[in-house]
Amino acid sequence: MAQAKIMVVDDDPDVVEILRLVLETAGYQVASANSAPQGLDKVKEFCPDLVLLDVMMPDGTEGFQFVWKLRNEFPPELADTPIIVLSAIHETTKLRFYPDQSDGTYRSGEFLPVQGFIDKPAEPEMLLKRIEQVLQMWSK
Amino acid sequence: MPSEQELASNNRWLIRLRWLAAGGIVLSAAVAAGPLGYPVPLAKLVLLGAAVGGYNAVLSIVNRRLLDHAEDDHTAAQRLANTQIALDLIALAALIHFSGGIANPFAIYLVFHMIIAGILLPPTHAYAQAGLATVLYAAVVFGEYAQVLPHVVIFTGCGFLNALDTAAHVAVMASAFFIAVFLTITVSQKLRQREQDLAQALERVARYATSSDLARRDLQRTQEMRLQYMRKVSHELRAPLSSINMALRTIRDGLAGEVPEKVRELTARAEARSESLLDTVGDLLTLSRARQAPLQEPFTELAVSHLLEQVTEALGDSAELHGVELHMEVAPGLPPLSGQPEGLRTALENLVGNAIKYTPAGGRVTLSASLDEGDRRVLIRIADTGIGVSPTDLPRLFDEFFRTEEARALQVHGSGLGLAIVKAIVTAHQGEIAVDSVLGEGTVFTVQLPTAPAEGGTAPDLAT
Repeated sequence: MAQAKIMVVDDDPDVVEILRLVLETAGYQVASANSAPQGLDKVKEFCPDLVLLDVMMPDGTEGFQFVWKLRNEFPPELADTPIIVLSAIHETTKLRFYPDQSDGTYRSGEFLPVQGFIDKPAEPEMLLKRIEQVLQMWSK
Repeated sequence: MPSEQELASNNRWLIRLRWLAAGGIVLSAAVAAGPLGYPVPLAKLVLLGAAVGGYNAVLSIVNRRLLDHAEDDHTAAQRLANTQIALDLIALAALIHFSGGIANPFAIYLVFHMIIAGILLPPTHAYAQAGLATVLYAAVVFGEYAQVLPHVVIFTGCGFLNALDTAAHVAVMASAFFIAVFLTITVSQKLRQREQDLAQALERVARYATSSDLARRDLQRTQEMRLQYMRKVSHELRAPLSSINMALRTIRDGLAGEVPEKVRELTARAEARSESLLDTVGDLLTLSRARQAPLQEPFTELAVSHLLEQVTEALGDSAELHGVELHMEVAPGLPPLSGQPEGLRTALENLVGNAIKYTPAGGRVTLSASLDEGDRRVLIRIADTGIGVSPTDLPRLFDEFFRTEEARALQVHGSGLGLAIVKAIVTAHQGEIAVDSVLGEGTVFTVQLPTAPAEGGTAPDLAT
């Protein structure tokens, strides 16, 4: 899987640069976009195996729009691309994205159809491990 | 001036009373002429009683029609009141005449009508009625004195004294009529004034209530804006900090190329500092949110055992890493708590996290819950065998940014906001927190939380 293609969508160029460095060092092929519309355009050319996505809060909900559009408006082979959301959003909002049903605070309808969440700042090793996990699960 | 409704209801009241009066006339005439043996003309008095009943029936119909029409016909109601009183005065004058004239103590009944007029009518009308009463009374007694009208003698030997006596009699009665009207008008005006004042005061109270409601809404909006501002600031701080932190980690891990040992060490330190700064920013946000918790979301019922399990689960790894034994003891049958799950979890995780952090390896942290039978509160205790707190530091423990010397000496990171957050959350839940500690031996935090109200018949929490 070392040759897998990963797309980074984040409006912070520093974060994009760091992630690119980490991912390329680990042997992935990387493309990047600094906005959701640009990311959606690039998905079509690059056909990534996985998208690392920032939700880009609090000024917009571009990240959510990205997930929504990719899942609903793209051809199936692209629409199912696994997404890992990379964000500090747990800290700043009460939003939860995943149906952690064992959690007493779980309420249906509060999750986002993505494959994982990583809190920023991400430990590079941990990030790589998660990416590998998701890719493996999805290639089955 | 009486209001429309007051007039209408008083008219009705007067009509009801008059039925009694009509009966009363007939009954007292019968008693006077019969057992008492007064020489009164019974037939005429019975006829008078019937006449009173007759016009009362007419008045009753008119009044009902007036009420049915429901239009606020004030003058009509007033006219009815005037008519009633005038008719009564005439009837009463006739009664007095038929039953002894000047010698009849029933003359005093005219005063009642003066009182009624004073209540029901505008002052000028009431005084006019007093004038009418005077004229009628004078007509009866002077008419009888002048023998224009026949005089019924009820007391033998008690005839007319002379014209002056008769005039004095009339003057006294007239003064009684006018004084009665005057007193009644004054009293009822005062009562009406007081009623109006009361109505105005009630209106003012209602207005204040509305304005305080608006103020409360304003306050809520301000609080919401403050929280939003805190979120924004926190994001603005966190975004660059986390990108600094990630860059440092990347360098440290050698992902950006070979790093000399000295550089790696410095990078690691910088990374640790940026991490603690991130924690502080996060804690500040949590603190501001906790202080506004009551305004955020409604409380729900929470099972104590579930809450404690979540906390133990979340911190199990950390305890293991520190070589600290983490124990949980929940008394069976605890009633559910009322609160915000997220907030209470944060509070307990902070307390347990602290206990683990400040307990040396080999130590023990116990998280337990029991019921305070006295006032139906749940007691959650977090006891550790850690470094403890000196008695002088205990009172400042919940202050923002306060850290004890012993905690600083351990060189573990802490923002100094954790316990302030806990206190804010517990306070928002109407709970209380207490701490007891022996330096070098351990610390016990006790959190008291109110249980959910028993209504709704919730089953007690069964510890699983």
